Formats: sequence, C-alpha cells, structure tokens
Amino acid sequence: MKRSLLLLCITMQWCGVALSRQQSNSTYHYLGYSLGLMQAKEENLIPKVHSGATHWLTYSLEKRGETYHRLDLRLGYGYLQTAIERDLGSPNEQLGIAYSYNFMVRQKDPVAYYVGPRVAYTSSLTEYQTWDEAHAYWGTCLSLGLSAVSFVNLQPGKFLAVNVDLSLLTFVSRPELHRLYANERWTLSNIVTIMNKDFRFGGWRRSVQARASAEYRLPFLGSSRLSFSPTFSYSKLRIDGGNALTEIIIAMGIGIWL
Amino acid sequence: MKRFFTLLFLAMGAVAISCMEDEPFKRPYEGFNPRSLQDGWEISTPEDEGVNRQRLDQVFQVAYREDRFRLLRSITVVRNGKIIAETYACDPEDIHRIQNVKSVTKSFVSVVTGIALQREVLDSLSQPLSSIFPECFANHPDKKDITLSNALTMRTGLQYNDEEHAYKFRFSSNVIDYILSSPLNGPPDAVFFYSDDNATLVSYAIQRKYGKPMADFANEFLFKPLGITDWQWESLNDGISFGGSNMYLKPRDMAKFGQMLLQNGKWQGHQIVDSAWIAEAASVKVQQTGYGYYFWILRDLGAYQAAGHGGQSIIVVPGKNLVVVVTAWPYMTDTMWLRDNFEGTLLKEVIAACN
Repeated sequence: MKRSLLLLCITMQWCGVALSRQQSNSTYHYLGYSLGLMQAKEENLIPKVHSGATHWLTYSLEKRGETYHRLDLRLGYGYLQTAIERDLGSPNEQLGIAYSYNFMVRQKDPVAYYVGPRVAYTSSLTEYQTWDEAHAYWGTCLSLGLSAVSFVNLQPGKFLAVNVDLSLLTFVSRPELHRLYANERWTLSNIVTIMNKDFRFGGWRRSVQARASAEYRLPFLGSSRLSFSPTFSYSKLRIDGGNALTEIIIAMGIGIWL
Repeated sequence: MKRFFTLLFLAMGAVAISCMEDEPFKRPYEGFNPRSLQDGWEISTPEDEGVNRQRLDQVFQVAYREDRFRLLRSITVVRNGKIIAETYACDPEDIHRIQNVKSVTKSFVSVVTGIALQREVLDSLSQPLSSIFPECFANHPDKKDITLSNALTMRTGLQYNDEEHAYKFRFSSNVIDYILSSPLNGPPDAVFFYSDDNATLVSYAIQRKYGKPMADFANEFLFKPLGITDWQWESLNDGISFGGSNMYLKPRDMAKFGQMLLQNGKWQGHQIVDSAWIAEAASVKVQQTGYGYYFWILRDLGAYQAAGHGGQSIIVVPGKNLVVVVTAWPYMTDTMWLRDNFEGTLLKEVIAACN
C-alpha cells in the first residue's frame, strides 16, 4: 500500500513538474461523457463473460507544441450480467488516472506524430452480488508504457487525434484466489485499502493494458471544440499464481475542449 | 489520407471482433466415464455395478441439455463404493478444484459432532450450551436452556435473518454473543428455524471442549481418515469455524463423505464415526420439515441429503448402495437453483436406473 501510494505520488509530482515546464504551450481542458459496452471475465470467481453498459465522466488536460502532454482522470460506472441473467447483475466501478509525455517524432502536413512514455493508475471494482455476495473483486494496475498520438489537420479548426496506449511494465493488485475470511467491509476506506494492497509485478505476458481512440474535434462555441471519440480499451490483469481479470470496453465519448 | 482512414477503419473492425465470446456455462456433453486418479477411489462401469447405462446416460444428457440445470458444475455417481459415472459440465479441471459447498458444511458439522460425542469431547446432546460456554450466556439468561440437540435440529428458537444478520455477525468480535443476542421466536425445542447460527453454536461448543477450532478437530478425525487433504473452511473473526457454510471441497471428496455415511461411518476399514450416530443424524427429528441432525431426509426416495445453497448436494441412498454428488455455481437467488429440480426429476431417474 505504502509503495503504491509513493509511486502514485511520484507520478503525480512528475505530471506537475512536466506541466509547469510547458507554460508556453496552450493548455486545453476537456470535460466529457462516454457511453459504451463492457465485457468482463473474472476468473477468480466464475470464468464466464459478464457484459453490459458502462459509462464514465472524463476530465483531461492537454498541452501541445513540440511536446504533447496529457493528463486524464476518469470515473466510471457499469452494470454487468452473464448471458443467463435477466434480473440482477453486477455493478462495476472504474477509476483511471493517466499521464503521458510525448515528443514530436515527425511532422508532415497535415499530420504530426508524437510518441512518449505514459504512466497510468487504473482500478476496477465489481460487486458480483449474485455470485458471491461476500467479497469484492478488483483489478488495480499501476503501469508504465508507451503512448503514440497522431494529430491530423482536416480543415481549419477541425482535426482528428488518433491515440494508442500500451502498457509495458505493470504492477497489479488482485484479490486472493480463496478468501475465506468473511465479508468485505463495504466502507470506502476499506475498499480503497484492499484494492491498493499487495501490488505485484504483472509480468510481460500475464498483464497488459491497451487503449485506442480516434477523436474528432470540430469548432464549437467561441474557441471551444466539440469532441467525438470512439474508444477501445483492453485490460488483462493477472499476477503469478492467480487467475486473470479481463475487461474490454468499446465506447463513444462526447465532450468539449475549453 | 485515404490510407490513413482505411487503416483506422480496419483497426476499428479488428477491435469489434476482438470482444470476448459469450461462452456457454456448460460444455457439450461427452459422456460420463470417470477418470482414473490416485485418490482412493475405485472406478467401475454402470454394467458392472448393476446400473442401466442408457437410463443413466439419459440423466446426464438432460442435465446438460436443459436450461434448468444451466449452473451445473459436476455430477458424480458412486455405486457399491465405486465411481461409475462422473461429469464436469463447465471445466474438466474442476475435478481438481475445491469449491464452496455452502450449507453442505452443516452436515459435516453433524458428523463431527458425532465424532466428538464418540470421543467424549462432548458429553451428550442434552447438554445445555450454557454449561459449555457459560460466560457467553451471562447477558442472555433467557437462552441458557438451549441444548446441543436444539442446535442440531434448528430448534434453538433464535431468530435469524439471512441477509442482515449473516452480514453483521461476521464483523462481530464476539460472534457467539452476537448470535445469542438474537431474539427468541419461542422456547427451545418448539420451533424449527433454519439458520447458520445454530451450526456455529455447535462449532463453538466443540472448539471449547477440544481446545482448538472445529476445523482442526475435523481435520484430525474426519478429513485425514478419509484422505481429504485439499480443503478449506472459513473462520470467523474470532477464529471460530463457521458452522453454517463455506467449507471448500473437491466433488470426489464430497463423495467420500457420502460413501462413509453409506457405510455407516466406515471408510476403508476404519470406523470414523459410530454407525448409531449416522442412523440418528439421518433420521427425521423435525417431522414437518423432514430434518435430521443437519441432514434433509428424502422420505419418498429412501434417501438423505446434505444440501447447500445453489444446488450443492451429497445424496445417500442406502437401499440402492448409491451416493450421488452434485455441484453447481452458487447463484444468489433461488431462480436458478438446481436442488429441487435435481431431486424432483433426475435423482429419481438415477435411482430407477439401479437394479
């Protein structure tokens, strides 16, 4: 827990330092809403696909010039069911914080390419109340990876941002395979604590997170821009000796850049 | 630019087809031939044990085909002490996996109680619990007459709310005090009220007299003699083995328990529990519910059953020298329970298939 918090603090500190060095660049703020479909397979519980709608709010901060910086905060909620369930399902909560620091590697009108490191903290909590009313199931991941962004100027004021993120190094917190000691305490502090304990190296093949999006921006009120962004994200988290949590989300986001 | 968009659309297409398939809960049926493992079980065939293969096969086919058995994980059929049919509907590797047997746990508590009586760890069933752990009754004098027998037949009179109570009592630092603080529905021995608490009271009685949690006692005098090495049993906050539920076992080890019951407490020549205890525990003590000492008595079928939430089941049919074990994914609501479905139809067919 302490190590994970320390790593998170270092990450946030790095974000702050990096952003402060780039004051000359324009800064944009994004507020958006995404609606999508989610699939999850929690093999610690029942190795069957749970599917359902998910939606989330995003705040992003972007600076673009010779370098491209982006900070994303995401808070989501979904409700998942297996194919045989009709009534009850399993609520899923998601939290994501990510920062990428990209360098321009090529610019040839109308496209500019950026590549750089990305650090991310993602946490997904599902209450499988119909299958195991006693326990929380989560997958929390601290990752270091690569981010690649291409900006394509389509017309004056309109452009497309294509983004691909891939984790390379992951530290993962997952529940124990057999947790015999009673119910979780469903208090915020306890849930936050258990979801951020016992981080272990995710390994190269055991754990991976990837995300791809194609964001179309067009002029809106004043200097603001309206954004539409189909997104795909894939996450597979497994620690040595444990079972995997796999999550896939396909979503469409709408938001505004200010 | 065109190339760019083409690549983009191709990527989106790849994304769309990369979704996980909605896997069925059951694999296609591939027969019921049991695997030969070095686990203390003899393997045989229906023909050699006087069972009609076609009728048995029908049972398995129905269990695989019909939606009402959608949460089925395994069926094991033992006749004359040998496994003659076995299937793992979800994953063949489930044969090696322990799984939560839910309230089947209570029937293990029953047998452990019999062993504790036989070994004089407990004095008698009429012993009031207040004589075993008197300090717990200091604040609950109205419950001091509750006996071991009351607890074993779900007639302590203690009220029980499965949702709220079961959740809260696990956070109690004094589980027994929490259980005894429940109001009484009536005097002990008067009202049948099925609850996890009663079995936990029995668990604590054994713990107090043995000096270690009941799971340790069970390991020494039940699991080890049966050759059950891979098991887990939930402990509550204060270290008491949860008597009501949450023991984890492999299906074949559940079958060992059933076969030991069928053999009147004997397993591979070793008398684990007195035959008199099995006879008592598996006879009706509560007429209106057909309940023994943590066993359900299936009078119409000449059988008795250890039953757990979601369809976990060990069914012993003495007249046919038969043990049937069923496991399922334990779903929260009873809409997908296997229990009544299985007993009401398929179990009858299995019994009818036996000559």
